[in-house]
Amino acid sequence: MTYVFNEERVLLTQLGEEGVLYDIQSNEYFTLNETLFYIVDGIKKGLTLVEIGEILMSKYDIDENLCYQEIAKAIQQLVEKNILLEQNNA
Amino acid sequence: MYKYVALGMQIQSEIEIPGLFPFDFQESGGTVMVKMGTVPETLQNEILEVKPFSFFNEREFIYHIPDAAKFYITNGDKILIEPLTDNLDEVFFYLYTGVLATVLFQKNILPFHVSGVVLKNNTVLLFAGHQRAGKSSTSIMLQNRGYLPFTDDTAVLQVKNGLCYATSSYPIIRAMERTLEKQSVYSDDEITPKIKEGFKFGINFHKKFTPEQLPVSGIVFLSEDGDEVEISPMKSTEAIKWLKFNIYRKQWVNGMKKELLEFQTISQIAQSKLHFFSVKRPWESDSFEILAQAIEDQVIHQIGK
Amino acid sequence: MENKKNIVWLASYPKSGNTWFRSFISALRNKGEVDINAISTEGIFSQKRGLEECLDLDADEIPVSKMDQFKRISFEHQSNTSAMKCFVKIHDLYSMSKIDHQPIVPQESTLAAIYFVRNPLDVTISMANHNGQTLDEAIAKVVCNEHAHLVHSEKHAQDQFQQYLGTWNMHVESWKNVSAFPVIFIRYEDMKMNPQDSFSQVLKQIEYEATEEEIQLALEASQFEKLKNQEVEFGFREKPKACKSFFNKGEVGQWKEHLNQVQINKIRQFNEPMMREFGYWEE
Repeated sequence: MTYVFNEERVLLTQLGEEGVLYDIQSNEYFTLNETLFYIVDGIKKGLTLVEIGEILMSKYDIDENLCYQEIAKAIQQLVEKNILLEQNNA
Repeated sequence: MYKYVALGMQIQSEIEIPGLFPFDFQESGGTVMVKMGTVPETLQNEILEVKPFSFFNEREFIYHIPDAAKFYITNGDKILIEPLTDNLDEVFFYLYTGVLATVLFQKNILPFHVSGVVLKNNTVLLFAGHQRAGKSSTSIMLQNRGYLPFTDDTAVLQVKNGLCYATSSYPIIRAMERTLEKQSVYSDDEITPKIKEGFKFGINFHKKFTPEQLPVSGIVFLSEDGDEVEISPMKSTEAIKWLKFNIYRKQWVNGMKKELLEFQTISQIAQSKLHFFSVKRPWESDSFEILAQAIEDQVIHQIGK
Repeated sequence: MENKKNIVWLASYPKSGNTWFRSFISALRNKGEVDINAISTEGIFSQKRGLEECLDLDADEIPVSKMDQFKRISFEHQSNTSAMKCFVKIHDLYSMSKIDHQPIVPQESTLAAIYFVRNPLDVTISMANHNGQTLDEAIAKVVCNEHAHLVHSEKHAQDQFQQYLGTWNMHVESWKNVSAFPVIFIRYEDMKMNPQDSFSQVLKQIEYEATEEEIQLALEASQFEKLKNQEVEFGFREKPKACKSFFNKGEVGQWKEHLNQVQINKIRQFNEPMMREFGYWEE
């Protein structure tokens, strides 16, 4: 399973090392802390989850398993909010 | 014809509008024309929102304030005024406080609900907050300490090359009587009741007014909380929410379909090289002198000597 | 725009159970959840911000001669544009506007009023705590004061318009004399004694549909102790600075322990008719 940023519905602004998302459809704003911003921004740039994980592990002193668990949890939340879309691999 | 500038707009009027700043300019495509006449009964295109004193769509706006005035504002460049009273001061009051903002919305510019003072390095410090947060009072207390007034109530913010600039509105400060009792800069003949039987008074500061765009050093978000004055820096991810809240007449954003513009505008400002501060003051006590001192010590000395 | 009678006024003298009922409605609307700092009813009649957003005006710059008219207009609009009942708190004594001689509230938009009445002897104690006053001050300045107001000074900015209260008796009587729309009276003491029945009865009278279970869930969520705990943990934004805790005791009959005979006599002297009417006149 891969994920894409929902370009048609969501706008992303970087503010320092954090970010803010705007959902055009629901008119809602979401604040992203550093970790979530790296994940969303990484997916927006087309990075794989492994590449995003490597960025996070290089920034924070975090165990690999925990890192990917946190990424998975974050992705689930972002999919639920329609910020990311699931894309089945062919 | 009378010519003025306000909020970065060139305004040409067939009647004199005393509260605006006179300014001679070469007419350009964006000049706002002000005329007197009869306001139509309805809009030419579909009405998107109906409120008790207005109805509008993205390009047309009709205001009808009972026994005061009607206005028809179109395409960000025409204002038609139909007075319903002989008291033109009252008619112009609604022009300053609502109509100019409508024009900006139609021009795809969102004004902010701020007052401000000019710092000694010729930048501005802005104070943002809802009605009664203390924007005018804070500005007046700082004027007592020698700072010049920049704007009261509204300003346009624009980001260029990563820097945020502000353009002022018009040279009138409107404040409650109790605030005016504490000011020491203006003489009695510069202060008049702004609306008959209203609670606010107006101070004209034409002689000190700056129509030029000035760089913004900081924005202070005012709120009432706690038992004492408290100032702290604010991150831009927090500031963006406060900027959204402090768009002037933000209740029009949906009806005039400016949601995307709103996000773009506040994102740019939040991303710019600007200092943001949260300032809390106790709401039940008069703490503006202490507040002004604290702002001078903790904000101005940091960002804008 | 079509005229809709959507407004239910939640009327009371202060400290008479209004916040409790609003919390209950909030819990009813939110499946048993209530946040005291985000009570989801439709504000208060005296609020300035709602009016400002509706009319696109600064409330402090409305001419005095237009104020009552503009307040009515903004609530009419709220009623006409709402898909559901609007529960609006009001502490104002019911009267005709001294300015335009119309009723202070928009009758054409009013479905009903629910009036919360509480023994003024207990109201006095609660009021003293709320205002950070002595009991004698609460008696002289509020409960027995014909000129009692909330929000006194117009000279500096307040987030609400001034609200005329009068004495407790004047206030209760004013709403009792309303004939333009139904006014449903509910005693605080009955709310405490039998909440399920008394709240259910009120909802039925305003045709608000809710099952017994929903009412029970909402009552549990809005129990006094739970609201008090929320205040301790998160604060309560409606609490004035002078007040140590908004949700203080909420008890019935605390006057017997706290008021002396002189104080009781004074309150009775100014408030006898409605005290008798509502069963608060113990010989």
